[in-house]
Amino acid sequence: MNKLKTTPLFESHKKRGAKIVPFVGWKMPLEFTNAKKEHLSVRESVGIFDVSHMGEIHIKDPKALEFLSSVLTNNIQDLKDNHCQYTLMCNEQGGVLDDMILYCLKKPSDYLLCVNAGNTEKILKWMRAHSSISIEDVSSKWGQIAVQGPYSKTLIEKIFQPNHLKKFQFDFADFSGSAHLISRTGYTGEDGFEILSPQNKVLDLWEKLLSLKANPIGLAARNTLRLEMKYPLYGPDMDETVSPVEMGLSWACKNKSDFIGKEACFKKTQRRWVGFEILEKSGIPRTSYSVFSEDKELIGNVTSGAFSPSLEKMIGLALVKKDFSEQGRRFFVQIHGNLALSQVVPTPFYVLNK
Amino acid sequence: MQDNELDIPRRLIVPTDSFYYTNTHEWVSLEDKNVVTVGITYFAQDQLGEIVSWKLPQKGQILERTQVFGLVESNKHVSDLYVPVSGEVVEVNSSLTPGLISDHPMSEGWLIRIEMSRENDLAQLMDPASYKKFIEKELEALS
Repeated sequence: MNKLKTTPLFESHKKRGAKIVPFVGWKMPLEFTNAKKEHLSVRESVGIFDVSHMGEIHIKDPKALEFLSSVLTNNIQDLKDNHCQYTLMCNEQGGVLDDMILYCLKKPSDYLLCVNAGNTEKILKWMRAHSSISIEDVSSKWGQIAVQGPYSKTLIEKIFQPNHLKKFQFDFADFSGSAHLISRTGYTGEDGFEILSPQNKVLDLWEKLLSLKANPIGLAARNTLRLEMKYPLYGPDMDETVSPVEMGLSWACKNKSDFIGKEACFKKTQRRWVGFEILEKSGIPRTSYSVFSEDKELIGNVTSGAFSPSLEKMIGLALVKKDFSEQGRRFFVQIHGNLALSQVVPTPFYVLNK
Repeated sequence: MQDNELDIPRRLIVPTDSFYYTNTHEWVSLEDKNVVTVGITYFAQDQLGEIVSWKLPQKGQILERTQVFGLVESNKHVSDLYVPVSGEVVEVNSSLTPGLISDHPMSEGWLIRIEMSRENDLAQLMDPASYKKFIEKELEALS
């Protein structure tokens, strides 16, 4: 694990006894105590996640909006100051280069992109190949903590004043003498915040949140939480071989301008990304496991799956032939040599307690 | 035996009385004469996390030492199980639940019982002291 990067919180995680694993080039905490307990604590109270590995790209240029409109899939033109949105970047074939959050700092000239850690370099290269405007990798300047769960607002209020923030809004606030960017976003489905904190402050913020009795949450629970919501994970669930529309993400492709890959994105395709549950006793449906029709025809493959801690069921996501994508449709997932009867179910799998 | 009665990290618990261990983290306990109980160690369970699914052989099946006899899996990993001693499966734990195997892997969460066909297979296994050293080395490599 020599060449792997570490976040400013790494030593703190190690001291707490977290299980550390390599993840897209970083040493990250897999679990602090027990993944299931961590998962449930986010559903029931509040958890904090070290997401400092995420990449941040600053685009500050008079032509920022014009350029971003040409590479991002969502309706950036409608994005106002202090608002953010989920968006994607595609190649010419409509394949997904990455999914990300775009923050509008000052329309039309100042934006921040938060991209997946493993894709930061690729996205930078891609953008620079398509424009000569100012694009700065600021990933090493920022740490990031996600605060998620029904009590996240109660917790955050002890440090910041987030009351005016609605979903997908953000603002800057002071902590320990430095500006922090707080957005009401997340990757769990629960109410929550993601806080960009300067590299040299993020440990203070983490310790402060821990002292307020927030549960630290590892990657294992982060994965099952997002899976229960059918939020895609770049890599297992989508990559450059699949389009946002096939992934059911056309709601995030509302850019009216001509963006790279637009035409290809909306070309009719025969695949859909569905959520399924397994109807009998089985192992876990894992990435790349085959999916067969009742006639034993290969109709697709699993992109990710797990035993859902909230629902106590085997659930999974699969890219399958369109004919097999409607709710209630049954198919088989091949798990350890057995064919496990499965059914397409409504998603998100987990319905939040409102 | 009481699970986790000692104030040491659970993964390092290596019960000593009549237990033998494999380098693939199965334990073997001699019941009477030539029947042994087989399961996974605390270390294995701790590395896997909450175990949610398993596949075990059927009663009557003949197993050869070091062959794969089943698997256990958590959300993190699928882990093959290796036969520690050759013989016939005489019992499969039919009351196994995710809770039992995750919380009590070295008692109620046992997996199968084997009637040994070669008694000296036990001599091929690690004693508790050797296994403890073995897992400490693995932990070092992991950190």
